[in-house]
Amino acid sequence: MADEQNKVIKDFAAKEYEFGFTTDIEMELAPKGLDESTIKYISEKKEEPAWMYEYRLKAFRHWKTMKMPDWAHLKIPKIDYQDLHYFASPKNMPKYESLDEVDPELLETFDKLGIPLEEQKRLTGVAVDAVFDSVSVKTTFQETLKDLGIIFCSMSEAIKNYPELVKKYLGSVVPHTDNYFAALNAAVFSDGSFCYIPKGVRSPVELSTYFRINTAGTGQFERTLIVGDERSYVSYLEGCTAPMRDENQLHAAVVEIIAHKDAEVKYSTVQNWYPGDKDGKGGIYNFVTKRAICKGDNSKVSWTQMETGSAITWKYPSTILKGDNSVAEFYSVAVTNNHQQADTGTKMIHIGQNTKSTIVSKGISIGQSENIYRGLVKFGKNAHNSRNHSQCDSLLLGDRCGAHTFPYIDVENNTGIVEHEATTSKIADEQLFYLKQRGLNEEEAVSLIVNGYAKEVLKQLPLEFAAEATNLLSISLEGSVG
Amino acid sequence: MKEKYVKSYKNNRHSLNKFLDLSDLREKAIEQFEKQGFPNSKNEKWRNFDLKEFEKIFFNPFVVQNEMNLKFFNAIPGFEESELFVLYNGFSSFEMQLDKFKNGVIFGSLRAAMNNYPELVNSYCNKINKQYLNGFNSLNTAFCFDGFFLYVPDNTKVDIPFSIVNYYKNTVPDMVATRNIVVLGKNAEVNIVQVEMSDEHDMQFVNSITEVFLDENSKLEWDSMQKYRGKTIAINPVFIHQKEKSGLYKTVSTLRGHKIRNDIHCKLTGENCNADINGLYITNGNDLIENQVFLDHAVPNCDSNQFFKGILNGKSRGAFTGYVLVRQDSQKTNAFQSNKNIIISDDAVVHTNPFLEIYADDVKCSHGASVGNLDENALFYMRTRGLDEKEAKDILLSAFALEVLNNMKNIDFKKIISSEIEKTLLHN
Repeated sequence: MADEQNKVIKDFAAKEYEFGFTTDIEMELAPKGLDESTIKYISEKKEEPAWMYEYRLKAFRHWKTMKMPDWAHLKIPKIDYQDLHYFASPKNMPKYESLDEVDPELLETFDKLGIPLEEQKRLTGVAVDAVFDSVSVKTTFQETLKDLGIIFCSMSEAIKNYPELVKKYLGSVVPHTDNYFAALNAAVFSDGSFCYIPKGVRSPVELSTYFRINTAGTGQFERTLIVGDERSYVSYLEGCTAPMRDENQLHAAVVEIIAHKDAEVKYSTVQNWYPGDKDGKGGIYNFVTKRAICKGDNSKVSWTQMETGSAITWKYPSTILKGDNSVAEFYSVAVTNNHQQADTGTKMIHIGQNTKSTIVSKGISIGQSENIYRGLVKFGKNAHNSRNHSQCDSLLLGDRCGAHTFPYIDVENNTGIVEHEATTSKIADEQLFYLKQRGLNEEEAVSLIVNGYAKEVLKQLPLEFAAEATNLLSISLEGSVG
Repeated sequence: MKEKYVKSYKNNRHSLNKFLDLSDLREKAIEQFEKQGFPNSKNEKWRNFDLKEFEKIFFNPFVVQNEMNLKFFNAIPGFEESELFVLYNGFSSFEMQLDKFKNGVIFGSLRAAMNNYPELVNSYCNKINKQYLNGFNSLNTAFCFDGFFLYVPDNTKVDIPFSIVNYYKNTVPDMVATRNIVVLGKNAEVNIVQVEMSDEHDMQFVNSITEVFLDENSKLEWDSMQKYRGKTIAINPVFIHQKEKSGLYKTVSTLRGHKIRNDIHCKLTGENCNADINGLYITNGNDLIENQVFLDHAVPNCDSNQFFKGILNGKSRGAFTGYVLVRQDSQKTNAFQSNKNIIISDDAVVHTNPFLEIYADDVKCSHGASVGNLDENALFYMRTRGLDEKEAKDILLSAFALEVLNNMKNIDFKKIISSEIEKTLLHN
């Protein structure tokens, strides 16, 4: 049986990246390198107002004083920040009125990804704001949303059209001084999504963005800002793919979420960026700062993530529970294969009273990969009667991978309750034996067990995404399922 | 401040080796210390430990001996039936006490052992992998002068426990650097009982290193109680090397301490080892007590278990870091970790970090951590049975604390610690 298992694992490890294709669209690139003139170039290209340029410049000057952190359990080859393009946009980008005007080749790219805009628009009712290397090409469902007062547009448009909102919220959760990559992002961010749900509005559709990195040697620096005003509700989806490139590409995004009183924001992401080939060559470096604040009382933020891609993932979607009775959730499945490394987890900072947080993290390591859960649960002095429950499970497939758990729990009052549990194991021989005895072959059995293992998280994803995520997981295991 | 220690060493380098001959180890250590300096809170391992005293105060490494007060013996009964060795401010209380028993067991002062059995002692002294040594440890090697030494030869089982008392009482900021070595030969079995205590006094820095070697199929039961009064800063790392089939059963109960750091570094180098490490910390006032356990599963088929509990009151802080490393190919490892804390007062703080780093797939590893207050249902139940709130709380707290002692084999000492724990809880 051991041999069979090894075969299963080997087959899976040999699995190639499905989304590795390059679209030949003429790109306009910023010259390589990063200095104040790059900032000026980006700002001018995007026709930004002076205050935005100042903001970028301040962040850049701060970034220059910082050093790249090295505390993560990751082996990161040295990144030459001067050897990257900081801006790439398809040339002669017109403003599209309908999908017909969009470059067919571009549409084809989305088709290959399985997220045709039309299809999505027609069948699922999801408004997609697709970001293609840095500039937003198409925003659908704008009209429907407009009627409700919901603003869902690219960050560049928001800077032009809603400067007051952007000024008020940009950098309020992740200031440019927060960390090395947040500073870098604040200085050079290319585009991203902006989403504002006004008071008392429930978004009728799920808002969705797809990111895709296309040009070789560009860094992708999106900036996403989601604001849920009082009593509002929104579910936001983000998905990412990148074509196959040998060079490592840097991705340093920032996502900020603000939930006001009684608001609820649900953020779901499926990340399947190019993880590098089976020898660990190439792939994306995904160094992302994602943070939400439950600003008002009774607010709720929920993170759900499915991580299967990127050569190196380094991110901790976090929530600051400031309002009383606020609730935060974090559900994560992280799959690493070959030489992938993932140091991911969450931070739950409880400040308000009666705040509650839940963490469910499932790690699956295969091949020679490293999968790390790192999390912080902190109860401040005034976070009375707060509650946290964390569960972090790791599954190892193969004896050359690593699965690590680094939880930090800091409690500063005597009325809170924190519970943390974690287990690490492989698929039990008994379970496999049982399923095989029922007529499943080894590969089906492995797939069934892995799906069951991740189910608790997958069921949190919105319907369309859940289907895609389950597919991704099956694809990941396809070599083993036959 | 670093320079002061280096200067102090250079001025006295010759007399140190005359006292306890470590040949060139001291020179290397001070060089290392010069490079490292003291750790600071930016260092991951010291992030919860407040090190500001080391920036301001020079702890004189040359302890001024004052007369020993033997009264404290009365305070800790139960040593009648054991072999007793007392270290007073780090020095053997009876000049160069060292006993060699008929069965070959050697027990007593390290300094005396170094004089009488230099080869034996040297083969076990300072065998710690350099990468695990911090500035405090280097400083210890540079300045250590005495400590305890226990050698149990192959195939020797000792029935009576060996008792060690570390007693500290000083009036000026001193550094007491003690070095301890415990060696168990093949199939040896022994029980160590250790009491570490200090009197009310000014700032004092206890900087010890203990090295433990467990040969094949040996078994060490080691129970210790720490009760540091006054402003003692104690940094007590223990480095344990376990060979095949050896067993370690260790319990550390810290009942009081201004700033106490217990590091247990356990490396399992032979198959079928067992390491069972239990700890309790009860803090009050401005105490800071931190336990760090590093369990290195370097080979397959070993079991380890960490079980730590804390009760925190006042403005105190308690911290636990349990680190399990399962190296590649260490299959069939079972590693369990548990840390439970009760915070009584609103100002106390707990940091708990149960870490797992795993590179082998056929393992069972789990950890659990919890922080909370007493169970209200349990309290309510007890009150319906006629107990007042305080009684009910006391019963629940002592039941919570005493669970840590469940695995202790030395019943007499268990009774002593239990009653000390109950006294401490009542007092708090």
